[in-house]
Amino acid sequence: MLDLDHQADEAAIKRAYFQMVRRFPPEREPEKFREIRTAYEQLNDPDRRAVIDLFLLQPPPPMPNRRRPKYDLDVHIEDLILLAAEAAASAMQDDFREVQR
Amino acid sequence: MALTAHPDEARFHYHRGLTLMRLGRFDEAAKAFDSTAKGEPDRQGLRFLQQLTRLAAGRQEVSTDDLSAGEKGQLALLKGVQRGAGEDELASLVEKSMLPPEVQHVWQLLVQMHANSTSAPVTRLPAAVGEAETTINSTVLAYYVGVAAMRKGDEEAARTAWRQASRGLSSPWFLENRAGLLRQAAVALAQEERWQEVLDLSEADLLTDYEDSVLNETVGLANFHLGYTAAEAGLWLPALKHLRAANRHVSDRRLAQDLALAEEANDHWVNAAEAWREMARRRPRKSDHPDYLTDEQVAAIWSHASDCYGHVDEMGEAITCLKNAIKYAPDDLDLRMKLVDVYRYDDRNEAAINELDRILESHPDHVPALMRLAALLDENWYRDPEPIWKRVLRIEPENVEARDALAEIYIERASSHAPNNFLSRLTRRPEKDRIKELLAALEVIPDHPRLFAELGMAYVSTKKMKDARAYLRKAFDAAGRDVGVVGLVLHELLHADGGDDVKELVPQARQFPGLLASFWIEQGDQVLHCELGDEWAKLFWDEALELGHKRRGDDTKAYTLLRIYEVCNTHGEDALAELYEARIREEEPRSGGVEYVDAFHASQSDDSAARNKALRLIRKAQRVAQKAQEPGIEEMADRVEALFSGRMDRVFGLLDRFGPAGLLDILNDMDDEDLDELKHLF
Repeated sequence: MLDLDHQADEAAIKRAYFQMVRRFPPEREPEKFREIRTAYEQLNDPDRRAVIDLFLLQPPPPMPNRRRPKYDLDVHIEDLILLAAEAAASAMQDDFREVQR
Repeated sequence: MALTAHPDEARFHYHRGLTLMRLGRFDEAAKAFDSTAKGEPDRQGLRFLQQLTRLAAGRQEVSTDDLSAGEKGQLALLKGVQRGAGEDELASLVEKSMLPPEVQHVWQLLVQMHANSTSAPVTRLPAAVGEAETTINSTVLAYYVGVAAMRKGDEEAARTAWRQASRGLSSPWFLENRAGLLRQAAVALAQEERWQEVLDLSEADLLTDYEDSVLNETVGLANFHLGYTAAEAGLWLPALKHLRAANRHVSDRRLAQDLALAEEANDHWVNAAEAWREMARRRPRKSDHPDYLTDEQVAAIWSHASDCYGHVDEMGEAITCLKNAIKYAPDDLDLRMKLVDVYRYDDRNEAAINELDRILESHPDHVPALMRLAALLDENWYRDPEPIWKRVLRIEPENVEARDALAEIYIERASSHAPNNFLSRLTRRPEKDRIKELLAALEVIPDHPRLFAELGMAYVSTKKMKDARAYLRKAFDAAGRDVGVVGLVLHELLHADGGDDVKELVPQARQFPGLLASFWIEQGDQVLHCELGDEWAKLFWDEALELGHKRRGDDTKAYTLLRIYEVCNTHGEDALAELYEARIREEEPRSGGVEYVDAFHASQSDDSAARNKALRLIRKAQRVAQKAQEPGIEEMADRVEALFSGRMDRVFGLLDRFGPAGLLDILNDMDDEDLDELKHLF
């Protein structure tokens, strides 16, 4: 009704309200003025505004800052052992081919 | 499973051992190889694997006599690494390992990296791994290619290498490193608000679940942002997809709110209601929490959830939600009235009345509650609504609904005294009582037009025409915009010898906004019905034709003339009918009205030739009326055509056979398909 961004502050609400009242003064547009006034009263009342905001899209929060992770760039003995084992085991792939025979 | 079926099968133990090694469970792997040795002690390479697993698990080694020279060499190298030998010694051990040259090259680079934490052979290692590929193909190598890249700061190359390594490696440091790298990349993209790329990143790295909480949160946030952007652009389907995905990773009140709105926008009302309920249930209870909700807000959420259920007629759930809302806002009368309305919609009238009684206990002057209660009592005959309507008028004396409702009650009550047998007509006592009741009613609701009109009619019955005319004129003056009262007054004045009054009031009635020709046609119809004289019918019909001339809505002059013609025929007023027929022919020859009248004349004969002619003529009337843009005449012709063409025969057949009550029963039993077919007949 007041053509406002949903994060508009009190000053912006007031400005928008007066702009709309100038466009739709009560003596010329009584019905429209009533709607504008109702919208203004709802937005100007923090409790009522809080309720209205419940049913409007809410923007997501920005990405918080995060510390750079620490990396373990050592060469582990377990990996070297596994490497040696995999090299040895790679000659043993015939097991399941035997089964198929 | 294989081992369960064949517990002694050595090769199954062997392969289990290999798998356990890849999972870093060296102790279990050692046991598996020991089991293998029981069945196949001479299996090629088994001794070496036993030694390796013992070395990794810190177990006591067994004899190395059975090992080949190469295997002994590799074992010595690994022991050297384990005890922290220097780079030179390790290089020497590599040379003595008797590994193929291309494999030695790989090992040299690896031991260098182990001895020197800054060693980062980013070019040489991948090249060496490539050369040794046919001899040794291990995900461990892919991992350390990535480590070398990371040492050089090339995170992109590391990600590529570790993606490859993920196909076989699951050591804790690898999993941590990989998650950390992804997390870093995701966070960097998120901080630049490149949200789609965050999602593409996780897909490219074949991640299906995010155990890393930061990565989890970042992916969730990415979906949240994309969902919000789509929603703002009105693209609710993609918005819903993203917000649902976000909801799997992130718990956030704003997200829950946007998700509920997206479900609504996609008409998933039950999902939406449940999302709102979830939002209320999971809200923080501490008042200093940024997402804390006041009681008013919680009530609003429950009320909104109720609306969502209402969209799909889940009234039981809707009522539950409203009751929850009222718990948080017990003084919110609008909310409680909403519950009343939902009860009514769900035909729970007693519950509605009980709720209204509760509202009125604490707010006895709440007019909307009083009015709802009175209307409910009136509809359902639970209690007498009169005291309730009177309470409304005590608070709001000008309440139109209350005044009208009470007027109806008093009129009905007074009508029970109306003469209905010979004796009562003779005594005229009942009429006196009726008048007395109506006068008493006027004390309660002064200046009510319907009461004035009823009094006028009552005085007509007692032949007190002067009094009758006086009250009827009062009714006219108080009628306001009630066209029904105006019509009633104009008619009853004629019964009360008030012809002069009628002539005086017709110009005033003319000024009523929105008055249609049908009002005046109806007045003429009633005049003929009561045989009050043709001149009055013509007076009223002149008014109708004046309006028809102005072409308001479907009211044209031709349509008005035709309707008047029909009324005359209905009452058997042949002379009048001829008069208006002549006017149709003379004044509106191309309206379709002439053909309609001709069809009527043709239909008066019983023979089939005449009936066929009537059908042809009425169809012509349809075409002519359509061409002349006479929708009213076209509609009249359509109805008659349906009758003439026999489509109505079925209905009339039923009527003939079962009578009106029986036909009504049949209509009530019809399903939607039957009713659709019936509608086509009309």
